[in-house]
Amino acid sequence: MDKATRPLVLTWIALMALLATTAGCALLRLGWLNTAISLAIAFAKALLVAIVFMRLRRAPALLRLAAVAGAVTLVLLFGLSLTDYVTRTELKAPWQQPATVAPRFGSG
Amino acid sequence: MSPHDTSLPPLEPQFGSHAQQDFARSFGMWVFLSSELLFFGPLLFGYLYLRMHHPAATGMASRHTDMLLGTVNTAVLLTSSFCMALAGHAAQENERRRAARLLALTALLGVAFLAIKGYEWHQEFGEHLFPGAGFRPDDATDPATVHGIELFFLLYFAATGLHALHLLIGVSACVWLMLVLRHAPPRGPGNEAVDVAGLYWHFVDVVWIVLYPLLYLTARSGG
Amino acid sequence: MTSAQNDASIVDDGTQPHERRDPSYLVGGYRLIDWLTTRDHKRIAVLYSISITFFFFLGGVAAALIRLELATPQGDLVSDDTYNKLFTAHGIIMVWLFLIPSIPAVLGNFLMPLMIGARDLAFPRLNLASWYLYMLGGAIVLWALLAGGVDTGWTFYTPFSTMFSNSHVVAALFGVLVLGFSSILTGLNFIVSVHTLRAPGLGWFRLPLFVWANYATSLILVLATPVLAMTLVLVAIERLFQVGIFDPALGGDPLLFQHLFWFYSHPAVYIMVLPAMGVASEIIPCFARRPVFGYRFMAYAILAIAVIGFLVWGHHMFVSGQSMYAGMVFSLLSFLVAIPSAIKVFNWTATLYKGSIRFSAPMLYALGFVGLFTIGGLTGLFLAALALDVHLSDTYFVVAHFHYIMVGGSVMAYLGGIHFWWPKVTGRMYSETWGKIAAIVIFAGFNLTFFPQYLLGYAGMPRRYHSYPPEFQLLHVLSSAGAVTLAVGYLLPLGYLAWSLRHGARAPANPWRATGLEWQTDSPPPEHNFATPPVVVREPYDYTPESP
Repeated sequence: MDKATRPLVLTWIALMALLATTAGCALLRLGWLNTAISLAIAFAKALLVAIVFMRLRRAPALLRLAAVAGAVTLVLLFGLSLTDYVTRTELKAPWQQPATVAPRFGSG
Repeated sequence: MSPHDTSLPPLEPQFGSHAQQDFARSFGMWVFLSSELLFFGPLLFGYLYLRMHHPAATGMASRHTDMLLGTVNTAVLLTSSFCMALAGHAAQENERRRAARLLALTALLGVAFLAIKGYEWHQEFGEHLFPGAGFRPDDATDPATVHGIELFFLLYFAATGLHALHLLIGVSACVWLMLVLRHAPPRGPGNEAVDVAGLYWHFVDVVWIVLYPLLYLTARSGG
Repeated sequence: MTSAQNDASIVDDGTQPHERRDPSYLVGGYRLIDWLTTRDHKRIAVLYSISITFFFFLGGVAAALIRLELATPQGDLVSDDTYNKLFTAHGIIMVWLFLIPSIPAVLGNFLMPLMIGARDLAFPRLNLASWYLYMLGGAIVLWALLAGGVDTGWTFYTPFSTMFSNSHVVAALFGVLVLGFSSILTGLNFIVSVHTLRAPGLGWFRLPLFVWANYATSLILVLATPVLAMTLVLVAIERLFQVGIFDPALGGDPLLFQHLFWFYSHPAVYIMVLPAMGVASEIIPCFARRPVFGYRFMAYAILAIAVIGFLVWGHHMFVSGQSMYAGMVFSLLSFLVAIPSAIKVFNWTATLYKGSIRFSAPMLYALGFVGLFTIGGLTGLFLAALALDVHLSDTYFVVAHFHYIMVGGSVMAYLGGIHFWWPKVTGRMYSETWGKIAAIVIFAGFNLTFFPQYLLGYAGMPRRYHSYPPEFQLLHVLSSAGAVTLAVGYLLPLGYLAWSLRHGARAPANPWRATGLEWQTDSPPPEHNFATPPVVVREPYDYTPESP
């Protein structure tokens, strides 16, 4: 393992460790912490792959900007849509007209 | 690059230098990956909607997925990314044969992932968890919960299906590269092609890294 | 002086014909197969222009039938089902097969490399792939229309599209999906090209505003279109599997579709208008002989429109059942997006001040664009106000608003650009007299068609209805008469532009004495654009008004 591949090996080991951690924690009853931990670990894994494997660590600013642009746009989609969902309670409709489209596909 | 360097691909007329050409191609792949992230976006938002409005059903549905296979598959894919990163490094050092071997290993791990995923789908199909006519989870009876579980599985099959399609494209790219790397340019590709393919592969990995906890670990312990 | 101007064989201002050094891009591979396998961005632009023109007139036929039906209050020309299919066809064709590709894929493809001093775009083969995807998407949509049509409206609203429509929805969705990918690849190509292929000396703030506009449009294309793609896939899945993701009885939400759909479709309208603003910014300084007023503000305004445009989509959903609080957020943001647009209108106007204005055909189109875009934009503010929108939503007021922007705005700018750059693309001059006649007929026809629709909408005429109470008939007849005038206006350029290809005077390199790198090379340009790669030392829009 030469100097250049060392970061790659260390990253792989870290990814495996994080995977074991997230799987292990999921089996414990931690309430809301379960979600927080699994999302945080997923975020950490994604960052490691992006920064080390995808070489964002030493990339010009433009590539890092391109990497982030999609995520920022997704945050806008989620954030502004949530202004609707967080402030609206759904009420069940008393009656729903059945569909008139051709019968559905499926396994049955 | 070494003085006996024969690994430079042809320089297209719109580019002034190889450095410019290589950068443009990497940048182009990053822009494409940004758009791909937004392609998966609505499925992730659908999951958020489901989690907000049917939390119990989402938990029940997630516990139907095979956590062991899902975790093994995640390890397989992370390792494949490691191999791909090594292949990219080898290509940078102009060790094309070594890069080709690592690409073969990457592709093999990708195929292993697809096989395990296929087996999972087969299992879920047998348990009547495929959405549509014939959907029948074995642990829910009231209609609202059944609908919630069905919606979860719609997102599950859509997300993992789309991911598998992307992975298949990645595997094909690895196999193709592995075969053509044996020819020096201009007949074969330049070394930076491995890096560009690597970016795509790692992206597919990152998508799975996000999907894994959402699909397999939601309320896994019951609460 | 650019290196091209140093060459003695090209006369100073490029207005005189001269010996060509290299053959034009139109010469060379002349077989059909050479055109269908070309990597030259200029030939790809020409291919797009032919397909787009075909679809524009197809969408126009649908519009003609709609306006013919609406000339009388009774629904007597076509059945209500057929009427639904007509306005759906008109919307799908005009939005995805005409407006979204028009300026970027025709003018942008041709001019972007020239304007940045490059020999082609960064990815020429991807560019050709974009055109093939466009043709495939167009063929699929055509098939859906010919096989019986789609009746959901171009907006494919659920639950009608997923549960109740018995038309060829899935085929149409698939066609639009393919068209979406075509546009994503075009955007990707433009972004990479502008970042990596600019000529030496061409910093960002020396770029023509047309380049800025297409760059910002490309950001939207790349980031917004994939959301539409996935949303349409979900509608198709829903139609086939009936799982209920958009069905409240099965645990889903129809507004989920609307949020996802409009997240793309609002930025899409900026895809349609930003390039038009870019065209106006090239034409107006040239025919006023003045540099554009406030260049940096114009560039920043373009970016601001693109960014804020992502934040306002909920204004399409004010009366849909969306929460009132979300409505307030989106209403405020929608008012904000008007600000950079207004800055641009002020700056175009200020560019004219004390200029030496020449009312050429391109200038007529560009000035028409500014005026009609302003009216359309102001009426958008009516719609952004929550209380007013309750009254105006789903009426003809909305129809008039978006047609003022998309037709009065974008189509006029597209035609202005076609005329302005016609000498560069074809090497021929068109008839200036006919050009002016067509511009005026189009302007008059447009206003006659769409201004009555504001009044109709305010009076309560709903949109997408094929019959109406008799008291609305006068305004509808005026609108239909306007449509006839508009049709004549659009047919005129088909005639005189085609005529000019054979009989028009040969164009010099720079017939308008315009600034910009595209005018420093021959008309039409040689295959690799520039004989010697240009070096840029001048600021953009280096015009001076002539003494009277």
